[in-house]
Amino acid sequence: MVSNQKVTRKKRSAIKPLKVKLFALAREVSGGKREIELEFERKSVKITDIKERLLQVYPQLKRIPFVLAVNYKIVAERQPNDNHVNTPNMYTTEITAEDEIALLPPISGG
Amino acid sequence: MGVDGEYVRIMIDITNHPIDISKVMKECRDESAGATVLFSGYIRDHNEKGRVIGIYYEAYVKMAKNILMEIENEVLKKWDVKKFIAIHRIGNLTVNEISVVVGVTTEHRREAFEACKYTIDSIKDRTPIWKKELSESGSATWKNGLLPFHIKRNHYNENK
Repeated sequence: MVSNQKVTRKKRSAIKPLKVKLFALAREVSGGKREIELEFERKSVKITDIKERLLQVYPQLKRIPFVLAVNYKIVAERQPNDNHVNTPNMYTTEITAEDEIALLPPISGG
Repeated sequence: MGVDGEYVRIMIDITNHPIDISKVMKECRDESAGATVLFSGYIRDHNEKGRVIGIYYEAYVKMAKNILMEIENEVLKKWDVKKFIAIHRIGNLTVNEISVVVGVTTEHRREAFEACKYTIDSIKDRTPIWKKELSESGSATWKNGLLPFHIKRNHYNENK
């Protein structure tokens, strides 16, 4: 994804804090904030690192099923294949502070 | 845009405002088409556990709009649709209010029924929206749902 902010980005050892949006029951069990920040020391952060950290900071999340979405697309748990070319992958997709990450508990619209 | 340049997108929305179905029906009209099917979902006064006095709906609005557009594009590929409307309400709703509406206009009735069913089923399967039911006793409970896996429905008449 092209970003205008890239021009002003400085070199650094750690990436900017990553924001994660929380919804519904997942938000309530994690203290009620609509968005939380996670800080990582290293430069390369994969989605699995974010998931691991979320469960570490909010162990209550272990009792509800959820999926993660990156830039409005559901994260695939498996390796990418031909059918999922545009799907972010849990173990291979690298995340920056410009990406929008969301934690989605089971949906119930309609 | 759309099929043969005839199709005009009218409305896909996630909204805080009450849904006016007579307006939706009017907007579904197309003089070249003989059939409109409109599905509307309402807040009912009970669930499996007892009386319900209202529902709070929450959405991941940007993603939900993206998914509605994605569903619309799938519908346009499968059927010759003249008009398409899909709106989901969010916020606090009371009994008898409309939570979701789908309107589809096609040349003949069969396609309109099929496309309308495909749309409402897909909305329930993968649109990031959550409901919290408010009971008479004052308790509020998030409804158990399904994880929004990215399923593309291959046919319209699944038994759901």
